[in-house]
Order: sequence, then structure tokens, then C-alpha cells
Amino acid sequence: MWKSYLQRERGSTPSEVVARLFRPRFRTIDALRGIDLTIGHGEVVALAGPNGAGKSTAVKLLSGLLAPDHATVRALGCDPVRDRMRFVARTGVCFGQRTELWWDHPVASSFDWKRVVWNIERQDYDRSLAVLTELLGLADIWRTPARELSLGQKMRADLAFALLPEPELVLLDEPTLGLDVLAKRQVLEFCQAINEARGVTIAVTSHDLTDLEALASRIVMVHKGEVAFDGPFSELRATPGTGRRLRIRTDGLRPVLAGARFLETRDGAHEFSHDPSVTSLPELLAEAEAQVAVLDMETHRPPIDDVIAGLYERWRTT
Amino acid sequence: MLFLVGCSTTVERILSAAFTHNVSHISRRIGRGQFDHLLVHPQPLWLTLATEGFAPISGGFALVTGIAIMSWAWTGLGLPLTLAWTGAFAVNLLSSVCVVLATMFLWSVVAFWAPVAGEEISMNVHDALGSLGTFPLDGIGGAMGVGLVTVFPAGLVAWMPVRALVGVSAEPWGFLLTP
Repeated sequence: MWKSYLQRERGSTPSEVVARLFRPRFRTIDALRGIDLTIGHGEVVALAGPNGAGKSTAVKLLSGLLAPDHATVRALGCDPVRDRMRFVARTGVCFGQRTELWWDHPVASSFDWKRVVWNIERQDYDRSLAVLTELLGLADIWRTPARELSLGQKMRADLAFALLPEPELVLLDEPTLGLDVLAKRQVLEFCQAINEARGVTIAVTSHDLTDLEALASRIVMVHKGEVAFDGPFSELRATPGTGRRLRIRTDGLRPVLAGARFLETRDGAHEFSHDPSVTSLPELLAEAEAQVAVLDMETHRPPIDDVIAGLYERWRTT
Repeated sequence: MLFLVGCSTTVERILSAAFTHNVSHISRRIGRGQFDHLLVHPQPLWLTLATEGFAPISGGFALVTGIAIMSWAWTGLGLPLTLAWTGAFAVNLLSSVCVVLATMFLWSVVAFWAPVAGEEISMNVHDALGSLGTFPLDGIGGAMGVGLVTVFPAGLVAWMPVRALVGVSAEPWGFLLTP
């Protein structure tokens, strides 16, 4: 998939602003530069990448809201742009930053509207709504106008709204944005439940990769409009340089370990990052014990957010 | 004057009843990048735009008020209830709604260039047309007068059609101006 935008450049001085009204200057933004992606039926795929990487553009192309410059996008056997109405009737799209609910009306009105516009049979609507109400806890907010909902409540209602017609494909763009821990967990558990129960294919973008790791079987990292990584999370963790973490509690002094990189000291414990393929754990411990009294130690894999932040940092500097 | 107030109120309320939910305030959708979101529903775009803002009940009461003021004024003025007059009145009323909506849409394109600053521009245009449209603009002449029936057509909301419909206008064809 290729997608470029023309962005109008603004003048920096008043005379430039006036001049560019008559002689506009544009610059080309390459949002996507040849992404080749296949998502299998029933798969849950996380799309990740730094801000401006092209994740949301990819979701918009997949959902038919944008047409690619030159590429073929096929989803559910349709061209999302040419067969838009047939395609969207089988797809649930949810944008975390933009609600599709009727702002001044109770949540119930939006759902009733959708039943009519989407031509959902009454019995299908009742069945789907009952499931959504239970799994996403809609009962409390059913009669509340959308504008009065909290961020988490709005997100739950929006997600239910997208999933009301029981879509085969669900595209979620930042569905956990701004949610508290509980709301985030509810949303992700719900996605997991519909994937397991109905084999719904899900593509989700999020910055909360720790949560996504439990949900998605595969992660596609987008960087500067290209796929930088495509595979399981475990493979991403094995990327050279991601290493493991070693926490050592000592009598106060911090050992200097040649085979590890010091990260931080918190609550009397010193944390290091090391690459087990280069320096083994017993070697590091021996090195530490030679310098200080080690009272306790623990080793763990780094949080996925840290792994990805490391990748972003590496991409930024290369 | 009362007929003018009733007419502008009715135009305003038809807009509220038929083009609510940011259909008329399209600069908000453009500014917030939500315009393409209309495409996520399995119906033609024209149908979405034509029906989405239809809320006859919530906007209906105020519409009744406008019609009541107009009817009262109409009785006082002793205007004829002929098919031609009623037709001209209905066409003018709908044309005024189109003028307001079109002006709001025209100014809303600013939001493509300045999404944040231009997000509420349709509301400002709407407010300005609503405020000016309620008043008789007879005393305003020259470039300002021309401007108020062309560039910023507040005079076409109610003043000019009402003048023609109640027979104040010197031009017998004045009722054709707004349409």
C-alpha cells in the first residue's frame, strides 16, 4: 500500500502568508511507502509504530475511508473503496479519538439509529446487544447522552457500537487511548472474547503494547511508512539488543558490571540490562559479588514497551 | 417587523430541525478530521448527509413558535391567502434556508486550511446571519447594503423576501431575488 498526502506549507512571515495564498507551496508526505500486509481470517494483529509512522493511515486504507495511491487493498473479498457499502456492512471500525455516537442523544438512540440504518434484524440486534451489554457493561450508561460519558464509558459504548452488527473484521485505532487500567482491561478482554467465540479478525493499533501482547498473536511494526517488523511478539523480544533485565539488591553500593548496562537504582535495588548471548547471568553475578555483598537478585524480560522504545530510539538515530 | 421576525425565526428553526448534528456545522467535522467518518456507514454519502441531521421533534417546538409569530403577523397585515402568494412564500422560505446553509458550507472550507482556528467558523457565520437576518436592513445602503445581499447574504435570510411578500418592495419581482 502506498499513500502520500500533499501538505500546504504555510508562510512564516505576514508577506509570505499573503504570497502563498496566490502561489501555494506544497510538500509531499509519504504516509505509507509500500506496505505489504496479509492478515489471516481469525487473526489478531497489532499495528505499532512511533507517532506519524502511518498506523492510522493503514487502518483508514483497510477500512475504505481512504483510497491508496497505487496498490490493491482487498478485505473480506472486497475492494474497501469500490465496494464500500458491502464492505462496511461486514466491518466494525472504531477510532479511539473520535466517537461515532450521537453526541447529544442517549447511547440507546445511537444504537437504535444503527439498527435502522444498518438494516439489522430485530432478533439479531437484541441478541448482539445483550452480549455487548453484558461484556462491556453498557446497562449503566444506556440512557446517558454521549456528551456526558467519561472517556472510558465512551470508548466502551463506541466499541459496542462498532460491534453491534457482529462484523467479521474489526479495525481498532487506538481503542485504549486515555483509558484507566480497568477500562483498558475490559476493552481488551472483550476483543479477546469475540475473537475466540466468533473467530473475528482484529487489527488494532495502540501504544499500550504491554496489553496488546496478551491479545495479539502478531505485531506489525510500522516505521516511516514501511513495515519494519512483522512477526510474533516473542520474535520481537529476541531482536538483538533487547536483552534481559537483572535487578540486584546490595548493601548499598552499586557494582560496576562490564557485561551489562546500568539502568536505574530504585528502593535500594540496581537494575541492569544485559544480552545473555554475550554475558551469561552467572558471570554477571560473579562479577557483582566480587565487588559488593549481593542480598537479593531477580531477572526478568524487559517490558515490551521498553523493547519497542529501544527500537524507536535505534530507528531515530539511524 | 413581526412578520420579519417570524420569518427569520422559522428559517432558523427549519435549519435546527433538518440540519442538526453538525450537518450544518460541517466545519467542525472538517476541522476535527471526522468528515471521512461518514463513510463507515453502509449507505450512500448523499443519503447520510440528507438524513443525518433530521430531528423534527427536538427542533420542532421552536419551529412552531416561528410559525405562530408569522401567522399572527400575517393576520394583522391582512395578506392574501392565494395559491400564488403561498407558493412564493414557501419557495422563499426554503430558499432562505438554502442561503444560510450554503453560506455556512462556503465559509466552512476555511477549516481545511486552518482546522483548529476554523473549526467553529460555521457557528460564527450562523450566528452572524441569524442576528443580522432578524433586522430590517433598509437604512443600510451603498457597498454595505450590496454586501449584505451578496457576499454575506444576511438580507436574503428574511428581510428582502419579506419586503417583497408583504408588498413593501418597490420591485414587484423582488420575491424572486432570494430563490
